[in-house]
Amino acid sequence: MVSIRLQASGLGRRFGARWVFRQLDLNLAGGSVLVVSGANGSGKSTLLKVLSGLLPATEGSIDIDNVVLGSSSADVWPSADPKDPNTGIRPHPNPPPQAGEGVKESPQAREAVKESPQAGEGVSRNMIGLTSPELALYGALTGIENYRFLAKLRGQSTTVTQAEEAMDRAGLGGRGHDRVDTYSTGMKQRLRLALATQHQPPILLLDEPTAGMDDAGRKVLDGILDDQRRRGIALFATNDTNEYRYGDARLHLGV
Amino acid sequence: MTVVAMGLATANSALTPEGQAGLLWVALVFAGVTGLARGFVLEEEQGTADLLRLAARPSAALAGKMLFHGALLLASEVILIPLSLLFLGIHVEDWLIFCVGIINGSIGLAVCVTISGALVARAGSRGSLVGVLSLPVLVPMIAMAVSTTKAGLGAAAATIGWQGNVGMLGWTIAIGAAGFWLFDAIWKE
Repeated sequence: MVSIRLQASGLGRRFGARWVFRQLDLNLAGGSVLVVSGANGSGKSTLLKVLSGLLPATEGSIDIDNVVLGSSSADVWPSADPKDPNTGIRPHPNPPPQAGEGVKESPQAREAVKESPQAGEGVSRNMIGLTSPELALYGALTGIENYRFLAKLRGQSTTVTQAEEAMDRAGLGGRGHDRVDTYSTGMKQRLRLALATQHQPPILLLDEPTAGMDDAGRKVLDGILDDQRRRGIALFATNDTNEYRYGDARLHLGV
Repeated sequence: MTVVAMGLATANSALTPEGQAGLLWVALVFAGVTGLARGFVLEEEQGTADLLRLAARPSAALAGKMLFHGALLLASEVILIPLSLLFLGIHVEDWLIFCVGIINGSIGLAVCVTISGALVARAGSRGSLVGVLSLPVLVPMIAMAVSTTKAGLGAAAATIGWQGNVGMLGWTIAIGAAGFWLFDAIWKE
């Protein structure tokens, strides 16, 4: 198993005057799957986007093995008050499975290890995979072209055969050479999973990965999660109570 | 179509080289700005920008879009320049200055349009901002390009043409360097 640790300290994100979540601390070690639950609008997708680097945190910091991916200046925004009704984070209903691992609410001050943004940005690209229903694909390209294009952007050289094998693993065998805009919702979701895992990231962020998926697609996801437990960490955002079983711990975000 | 319309409109008029240089660059800038909608703006509108952000280094995304705009513009010019020479009755006096000026100006235009496109793509009201955000970076480039082309057409001294070329090169490097420096911030949010 890859030894990796994902930590977030005092993490907060707001849009305008509204805090989506605030004062969130995470401490996840390799081999764990954290389910992020909550009602619509509770900030699940926002949290995953912040962790992936797509959105900057308004406050707090994120680091992977002590490399800071994103941090905001504590001077810009006032520190969160745990009694603030806008905090948006509810206590975790179940304790984390191991000491020092899982999620906890902590009032402790964040101590970000400041590093260059370029270093963090590079780590983010290489170490994080994200899938989300909001993530649009290149509809005019085929599934294999999408796969090879993303691989090239990530600095990997992928042959057509390797891409076809990845399509097979995602359950898209036979449709890899079709344009993505002819794919169904579930097929696009399978392709997103293939893209998110193509660089075998130690941290996999899954935002409602079963949306539109059939049973076969869910089996593909089971396999991906099994692999991810061996490879590193997964965060699985869902509001489906049947999917809580995927996680070793659960973080519930409140509206 | 722009060149044909301009050619038909001026069919019975004897255009000065200054006017020809100006009209030629109207057509080239039009071609360049039209490509703006196919760069970063299209990525944001299609929603594929996040996919790029997840996988590509910001500098690689910017360089790729610059190359795309440059290639698109140069491909357009393969048709546009001969048509302009034909329909606008342009007579080139100094082909070296003319060609270097066109290539130099096109590269500069591609760089300016790409960076303007990145700014426009991240702005809310895109349509109205195109002109406003593009103007400060494009106007100096266009002014130098026109003066270089005028020299190529014999309406200005050759030294002015070469000065224009050096100026365009310097402006392209300055805008390009600023673009790469600022792009991380523009690209992220």
